[in-house]
Amino acid sequence: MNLLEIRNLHAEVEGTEILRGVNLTINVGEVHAIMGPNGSGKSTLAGVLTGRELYTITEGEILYKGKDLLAMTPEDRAREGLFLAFQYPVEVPGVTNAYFLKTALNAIRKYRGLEELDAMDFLKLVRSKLKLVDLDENFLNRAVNDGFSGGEKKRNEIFHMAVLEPTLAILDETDSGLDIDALRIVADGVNSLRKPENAMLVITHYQRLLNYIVPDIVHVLVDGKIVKSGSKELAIELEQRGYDWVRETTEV
Amino acid sequence: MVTHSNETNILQWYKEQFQKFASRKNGESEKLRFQERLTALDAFLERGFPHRKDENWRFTNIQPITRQCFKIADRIGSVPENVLQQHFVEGAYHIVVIDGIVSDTLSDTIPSITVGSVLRVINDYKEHSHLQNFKPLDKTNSPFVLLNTAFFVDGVWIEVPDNVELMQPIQILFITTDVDTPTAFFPRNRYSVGKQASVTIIEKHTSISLGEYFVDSYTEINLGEQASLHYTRLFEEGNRGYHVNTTRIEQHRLSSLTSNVVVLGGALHRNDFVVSLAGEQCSSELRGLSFASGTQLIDHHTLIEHNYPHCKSTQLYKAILDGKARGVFNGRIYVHPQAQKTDAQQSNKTLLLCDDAMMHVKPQLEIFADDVRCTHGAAVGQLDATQLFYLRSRGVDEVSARTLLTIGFANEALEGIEHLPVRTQIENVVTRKLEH
Ligand SMILES: Nc1ncnc2c1ncn2[C@@H]1O[C@H](COP(=O)(O)OP(=O)(O)OP(=O)(O)O)[C@@H](O)[C@H]1O
Ligand SMILES: [Mg+2]
Repeated sequence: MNLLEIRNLHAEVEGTEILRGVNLTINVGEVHAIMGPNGSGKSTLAGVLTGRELYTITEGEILYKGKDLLAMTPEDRAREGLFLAFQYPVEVPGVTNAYFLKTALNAIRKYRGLEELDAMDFLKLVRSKLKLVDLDENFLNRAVNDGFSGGEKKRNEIFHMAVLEPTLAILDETDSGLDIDALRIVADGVNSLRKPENAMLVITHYQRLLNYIVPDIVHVLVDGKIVKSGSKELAIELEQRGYDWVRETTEV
Repeated sequence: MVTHSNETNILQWYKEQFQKFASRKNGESEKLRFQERLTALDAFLERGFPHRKDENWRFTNIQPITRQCFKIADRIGSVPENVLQQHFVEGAYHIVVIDGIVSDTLSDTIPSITVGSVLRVINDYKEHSHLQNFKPLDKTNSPFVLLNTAFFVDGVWIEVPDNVELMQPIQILFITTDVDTPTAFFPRNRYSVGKQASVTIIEKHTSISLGEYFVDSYTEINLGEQASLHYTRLFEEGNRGYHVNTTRIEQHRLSSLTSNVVVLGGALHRNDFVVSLAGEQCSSELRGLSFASGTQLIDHHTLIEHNYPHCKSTQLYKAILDGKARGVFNGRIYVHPQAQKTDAQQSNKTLLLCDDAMMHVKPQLEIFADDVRCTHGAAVGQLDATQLFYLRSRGVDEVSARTLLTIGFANEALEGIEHLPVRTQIENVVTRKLEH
């Protein structure tokens, strides 16, 4: 089944066009990877999908579960199962990780007509999810990302993902800043969250991550357009030949 | 209600009120105190109320207090039991002050320390001994302190003897009852913490009055050598309440103070906080949180006097301003020539929730020693769009996300409040106020 369909998406930031006609379809059960040079528009695409106000959509449409995604508020997108692990996780001083996550989870559950979790049940749930990404329990009572190391922030994003159990998760360079062991842990964590009814969009610069989280399809985004799509072997080829090779073999 | 538009009339009013007050005080046993009242009144009449031309009152319009005649409180109302319970925090001793008068029946006795009505404690002492307990009147004090000195009837006395560590906090509830005419209250408190003694004092100032009232409160605190005080104050006056509070703390060698002052209610709040470091190696940690909305005005004036070497003071005052609210922070640090190795830090941060709100910040550093570290900083801003999006992108609706971030902003100013039920109570009030 068709979970996400992006048709001819054009988006700009402060008058500059960043996305210039993106087409992408993701079906349930699939893992898609997006690679592409710095500044090509990968994070912009993630931001547009999750409803960041920074961007103006000038053309195109996005259907998510058959609904007009662009008409929905960021929070409703999340409640409908969309999740973005940020390339640069945001520090929120004064708000504890646990409190934020409980508020988020209960907002989502309420939207779905499920009973809200009380403190005890919540704690039980998050404890098991913390183990998944090997984070210590004291991270619950620390302010969100405040003073976390780069790698801890990334792990914390996956921890949030594990608790919120999204239908479509977008991971924006979750691998950058992780040491070799942490990469393995995070990848294992992500893989354990894969389900036939879910899908993932993994943005990365490195083929290494894709050895762990094996994609069904790899896309190459250059200058705001997907210029090439292929099987997971495409990532290996990219790593060997660089982006100039893609630019040469396609007309942008 | 009589309304006087000119200043002479209002001063005349207080003069007349004092005559009535004096006749009621006919039996006042200690003549010396009565003399002090008279001196204070004369000094007040001479000075008059502060004016906006006074540098210390530039941003604070006290007209609501000076344009009308407040009756001097002369009765004690009653407070329903459930209201009291609602304000009490768990795990603390409770002292109740209704309409400026300490209520014995509603207050706990506390083992190993002296606590109760200022008046009674003074009267219990042998003749005139109270003069050792209160500083002599300083005519250069603010007119509000002079007025308080002339009219005070009662207040709380706490004396923690040397070496006593009180584990359980003392909560003092100052509550004014409903008034039919605009009424003024003048509570006066005195806390003394002995050498190596330690105590937590939590004040809550509130009201069940729908009418207009004015509280002019004055508190003097003395911290002995190596004493420690955790001092939390929550001002949650009614919508038509005006509160001017002056608090002076004198700290002796190696003593430590942790102060949190939270102002949430009242149409007008002015807070003068003077910490005098009167010995070496004292530490003072001051945090403040103001949350004003509508047309509320909250004004904090702090003065830290570094009189001795090797003392450390930190100030973090935060304000959340909504609607057309006004905030003032004037932080003065005075470092005397002999106060070498002083470490004094001051920071003021304001969150504007609305474009019409306004904050006035004035750091005032007067440093006369050369080997010191003094810093100050101020920032005024709005909620961060990236943080807001981050929370929303995880499913939190916009209103809740704003609330969450605002509470997050406030939290830093609530650090140091170790008694959890108080902190929870404050957080709840802030949340409720945000939801309005
Ligand atoms: N707020 C902004 N104002 C101006 N330009 C912006 C803004 N945000 C993004 N851009 C520009 O949009 C382009 C695409 O940025 P984007 O973050 O989507 O790239 P990316 O593919 O994620 O790059 P990277 O691999 O470095 O993360 C860049 O040229 C960037 O400078
Ligand atoms: Mg990016």
